Amino acid sequence: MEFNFSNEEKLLQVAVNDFARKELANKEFDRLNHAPRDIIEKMGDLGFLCLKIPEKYGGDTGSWVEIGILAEEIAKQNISVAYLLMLSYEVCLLLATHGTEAAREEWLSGLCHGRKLGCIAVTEPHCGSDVAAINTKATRDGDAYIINGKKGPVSFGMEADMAVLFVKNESGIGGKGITSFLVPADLPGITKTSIKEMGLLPSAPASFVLKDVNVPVKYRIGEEGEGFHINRSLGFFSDFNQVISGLVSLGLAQTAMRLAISYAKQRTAFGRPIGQFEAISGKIAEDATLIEAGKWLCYRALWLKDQRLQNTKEAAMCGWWCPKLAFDVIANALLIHGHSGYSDDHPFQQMLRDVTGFEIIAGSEQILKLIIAERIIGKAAVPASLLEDIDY
Amino acid sequence: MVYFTEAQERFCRAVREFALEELAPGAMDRAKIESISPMVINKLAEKGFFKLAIPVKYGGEPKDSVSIGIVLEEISKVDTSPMILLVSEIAVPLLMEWAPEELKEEWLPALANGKVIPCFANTEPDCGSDAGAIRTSAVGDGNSYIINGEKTSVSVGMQADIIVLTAKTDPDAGARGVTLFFVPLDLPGVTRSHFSDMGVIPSGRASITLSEVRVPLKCRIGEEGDGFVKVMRGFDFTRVMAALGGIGMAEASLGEAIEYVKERKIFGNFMSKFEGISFKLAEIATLIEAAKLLCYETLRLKDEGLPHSKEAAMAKWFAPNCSVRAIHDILTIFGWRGYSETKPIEQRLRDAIGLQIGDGTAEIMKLIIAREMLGEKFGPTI
Repeated sequence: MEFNFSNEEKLLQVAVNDFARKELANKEFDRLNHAPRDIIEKMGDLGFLCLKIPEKYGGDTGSWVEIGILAEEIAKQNISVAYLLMLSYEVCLLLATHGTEAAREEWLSGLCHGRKLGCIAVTEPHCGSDVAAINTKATRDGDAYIINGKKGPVSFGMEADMAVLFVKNESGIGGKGITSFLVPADLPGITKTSIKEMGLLPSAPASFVLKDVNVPVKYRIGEEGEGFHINRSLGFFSDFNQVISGLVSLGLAQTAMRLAISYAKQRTAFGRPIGQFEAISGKIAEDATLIEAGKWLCYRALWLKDQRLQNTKEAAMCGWWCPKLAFDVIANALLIHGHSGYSDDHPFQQMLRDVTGFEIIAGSEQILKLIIAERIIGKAAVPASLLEDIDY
Repeated sequence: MVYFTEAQERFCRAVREFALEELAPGAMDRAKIESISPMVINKLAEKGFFKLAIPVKYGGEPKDSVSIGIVLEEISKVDTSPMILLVSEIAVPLLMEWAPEELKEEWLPALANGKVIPCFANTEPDCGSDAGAIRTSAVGDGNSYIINGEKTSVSVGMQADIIVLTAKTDPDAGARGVTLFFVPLDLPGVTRSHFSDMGVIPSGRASITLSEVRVPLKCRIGEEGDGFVKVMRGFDFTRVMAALGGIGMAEASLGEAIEYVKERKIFGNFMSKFEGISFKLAEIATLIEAAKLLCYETLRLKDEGLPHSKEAAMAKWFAPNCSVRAIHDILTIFGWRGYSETKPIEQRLRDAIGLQIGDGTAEIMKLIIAREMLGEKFGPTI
């Protein structure tokens, strides 16, 4: 058993950490209501967006653990940029694994160099976690599909150059009737409306109305009916999404804790630094324990993926637990700062708004727990009607 | 509910009706504006909610503490914007009990009818919980005092017309050097600046700087050096009120969640049918009930003239914690909808966190409880 990063991984960690400190720290990014495109381009130039993408499209080798390191280190300085990195990988990997040659040629290089921005449209007004219940429909019409329906909220939807769409195909029943497409976001018939949310403002979420959108067959990802499986393997319902959401949340939580530690050493009450009160030091000790446990839970899930071993259970554990514990750690850091922590003078209130988003992005706690239950108790622990939806 | 008398029950129903009819429209928008709407202030004044802690002879209509708690809980269920104003409208008249007759006659009637907005300040940039360490000074000068210093984190501070604040009349005497003063905020030497906060936004939290502010002798409340004890006594009440404000928000969120999980279907079944959802709501309901009972029990003790500092401290750390946890869980049950600004949940979460901080942190509350429980010899030393 070896709990450590390899030398290469450590070098990457240092490089990303440097980049993030230099380019992302102390900037007003968090309040931007659009993605910082210049930063994305820089990340593209540094090769941060192209790990595990085939070389012929400008990609690089690399491991899942390395993508985890990227996400965690970026999130320490800016969680919205880390969110963007996570989504960028999901779109790239979907395309690289299941896209047509024509679509890969068209998009992949731009995506993994940070010149193009993607988004994933799964959620609909009436359903999120229950992907099989979506209503948006695709009807085949010769060499194209005609798509109609509503999607949203879609993170980065206002700005993305392309969108991965999950829709019902004609014969579509349940999870087996879903097909995915990667479409240019400016196709005629797509109307976007901005949505205001509590945090993650740079992700500029949108709702899409799709009215008779004509999508050529080359933009289909995978075969008809494979959409559910694709979303489960690389999209919003994937082990990757769950683990990276966990690491992103923990990255931010570590920054909050670091700030709380230095504050506890400076601020005095009743004549001594507040860090000398057990009520404060004990809380920080607890938070450090949770972060440490959460981090290794995430990296082990990625390591399993690198070894091509099953990580369904471990990933689901990361997904429900890490964003939640990150919320608690950040809330503690805010409260340790007292009334000043509550104001805009400190970053905690924004951190708390942002990390709450990841409790939702990672997948609902209830479903992630059902996945774990199915793995550790057995199929008997899950109602038969749900098995198809959570198992793969 | 067993803990309300019939009269309190009737009052509760009346407040609830008023809130739903008069305050529900536009409440979500008002929660995001950096001042309390004059329309809301007028309505609350008309209803007599600023008279609850003012004696009849000054135009008040005093009520028991439990009833005042009811006002906080019921109004916060519907509209969080006047929550802290209501606390201030109770705290300031209570502190003025010890003010000279002249001052009371001059100001209390205007407070009672909502023409004058009050605020209270103790916290300073370098100290909050440690109230004996304040640095604002008040120096006697003939028939007046000259006040210098900076008060911060003053709720309703931007909108208020008058302030009751703590200042040191004896800088070397620690907590025993603290005295209460009444200061009209339009006096020369008063400047204010505004905090941009995560929540409780309409309270317009302010920093108030006093530079050579001269107030007449009659503006001193009580005797020199007895301010600390008076403030602590006041806290025993306001802490419970803030706690009940949080409970109101959590109850409203729970009600909305119950409706939502009965309407929304997932995997072909109502969300409410999943134990992951229904048991979470069951837990939330338990926490709310326990916290609420703790709050009203504290107010009952107060109404009966019994000691209740420990209970007030328990209510102050426990109830806002329960509220934050309840609203946070409910936000995730609502998923993306809870995260968006189209529902009031995200705003309530941000507001409830403010209640964890205002009027004393959880650590200070536990200190009070532990000291009372363990005594001076075995309790925590500060």
